[in-house]
Amino acid sequence: MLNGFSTRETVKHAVLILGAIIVLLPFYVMLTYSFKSPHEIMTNTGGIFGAQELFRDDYCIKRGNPVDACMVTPFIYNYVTAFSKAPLLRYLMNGLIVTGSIFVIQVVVALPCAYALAKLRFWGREAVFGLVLFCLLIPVHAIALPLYIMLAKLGLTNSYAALVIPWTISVFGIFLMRQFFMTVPDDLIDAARMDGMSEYSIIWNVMLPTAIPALMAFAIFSVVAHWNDYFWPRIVITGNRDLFTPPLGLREFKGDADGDNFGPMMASAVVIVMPLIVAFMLAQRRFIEGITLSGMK
Amino acid sequence: MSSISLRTITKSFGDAMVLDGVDLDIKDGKFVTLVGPSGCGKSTLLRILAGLEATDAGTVTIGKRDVTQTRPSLRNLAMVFQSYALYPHLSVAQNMLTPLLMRDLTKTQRLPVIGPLISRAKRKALTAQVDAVAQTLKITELLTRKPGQLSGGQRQRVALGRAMVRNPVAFLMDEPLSNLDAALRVHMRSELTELHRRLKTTFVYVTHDQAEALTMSDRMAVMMGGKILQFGRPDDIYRDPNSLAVARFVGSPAINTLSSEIDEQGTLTVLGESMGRFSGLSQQSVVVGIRPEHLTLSKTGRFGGMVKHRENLGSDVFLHLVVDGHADVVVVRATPAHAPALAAQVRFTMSSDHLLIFGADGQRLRAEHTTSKVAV
Repeated sequence: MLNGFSTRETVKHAVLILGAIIVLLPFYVMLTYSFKSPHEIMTNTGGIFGAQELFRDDYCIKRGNPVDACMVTPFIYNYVTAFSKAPLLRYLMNGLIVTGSIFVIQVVVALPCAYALAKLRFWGREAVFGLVLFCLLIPVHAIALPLYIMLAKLGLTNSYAALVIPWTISVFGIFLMRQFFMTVPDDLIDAARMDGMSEYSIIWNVMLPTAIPALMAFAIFSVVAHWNDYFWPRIVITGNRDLFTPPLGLREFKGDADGDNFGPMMASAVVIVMPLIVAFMLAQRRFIEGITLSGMK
Repeated sequence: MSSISLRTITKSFGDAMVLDGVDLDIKDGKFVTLVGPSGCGKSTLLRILAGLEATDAGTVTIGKRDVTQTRPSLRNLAMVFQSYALYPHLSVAQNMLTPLLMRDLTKTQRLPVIGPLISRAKRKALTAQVDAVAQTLKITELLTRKPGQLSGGQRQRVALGRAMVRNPVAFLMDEPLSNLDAALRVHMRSELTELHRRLKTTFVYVTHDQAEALTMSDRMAVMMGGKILQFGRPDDIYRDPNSLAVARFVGSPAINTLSSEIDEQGTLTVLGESMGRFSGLSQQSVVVGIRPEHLTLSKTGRFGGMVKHRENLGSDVFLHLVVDGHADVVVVRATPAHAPALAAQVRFTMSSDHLLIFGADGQRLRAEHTTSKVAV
């Protein structure tokens, strides 16, 4: 039976493969387009990587350069344009600053909250936890307008602060970490108290290291959500292109007088999702390593 | 001198009274066991002594100092937990070093990066202490490992080591052996008693296992329902329990308890046989307790019964007998060589010197046996 054919397993895999294709197809299109010349994209030829034949860059000729100097390799052209037409590095940097500070502040807030909710006995604890659960139910978009107005009144729109502040308290993070802390044995905390650690020192020196797997899970949710967020940056960053996050950067390639420019657009899309995919792969390894909470029985 | 005394310790969680005015005096250097069934409040008492739990009323004194309101770390006690509670992300050496760092270094000296630079000499001394303790416990080769890479017994030793490095005034242990397998547990018992002899420090040991209490401690306190029922030498408690509850809890297999009568002359009748006169007891229903080792198989014994069940422990066989003409079952200790088979009819005697008589309220009735005319 181990190596035999099983209809059940075959059907299962067929369904899974189909699902994977549906999810991966847009990525495939994005990746191949980023390699191809405009002609290949329009005619849908060239296979996965395109023929990489030289083609004429019309924009270059328009600027008065000789034709010889304007022949370009599609894949180099796409990626060079992606970086030159929009300050993509700057956007990536912004993305890094924003998601990084959001995550760090979320952890700084969520860990002590979660610790208190999970391990300390105080009057009204259940009520506070009820509020946390309640806040989980509030959709972001419902409070976007009041948030925007408050930020505008404070004169904070068009700043990093506007991108970061609304997300610093993550009830989801508090909830997730609280659930994890519930599984940490009380003995460990008591041992730390006997050793003379203060409650804050317990949070940062005992709870934080044991919570790494849960934090990784939370990091994935948080970083992905805010790296990919288009809605909120679009609202609070109105003029200053220096503050654009990567998804806003994609707007630079929307069809305009130059005509469609799918190659460079897809190239920048590849550049934007790549950090996430790499981070995922690294985190996945840590996940499996850390998920077994050794030494605590 | 650092004797510990607990005075009228009271604690309740919500409506549940966990400790009800407990008094306990622990002399310096003694190995004291708190033993009782689960939920009797023994762990809570230990946690109050440690400072991990606040009392509702009463005082905790260590040495001459009232520490009722003192933080756990400032009481200079060390605790070994049932789950060992080692920091899973730190190596064994770091685990053992942590309490020393927290106690002996200032806040700045504990800072990451800069801390180790400015307190190098001090840290070296502390590491030397850790090494010394590791040597006594024979765990030197484990120092670089993480708790996850250790077996249960090894973790147990590391937890002990972490407690020992601080040179505490007392070791508090909360069921430290209950996660070990049976053979290792027995081995660790002797190791702990040996450690106690060597360190000459007070041990306060919580367990639900009366065998651990009997084998290890200088003094044991039997707790039930938030009270200490009896406090004394294990031997005395086993031989001379104050109440039926203590008699039943201590000893394995459990003491035989038989409902009996005392008539107006003070004659005790057990299982229909007279056991002689006891002075100072009026006519009443009593419960008689007798340990299995005080019942002896004998062809001419006064009592007869049928073997219902045999428990062979190798060195002894415990026979569960249904007594002729009664519903009672008694347990008799026998030597394997002479142990009858299942369903056999046997006769046994009861030594009246070892009878423990308890009143209807479960309290011991101490009475002198006046006539020892035991018709064999």
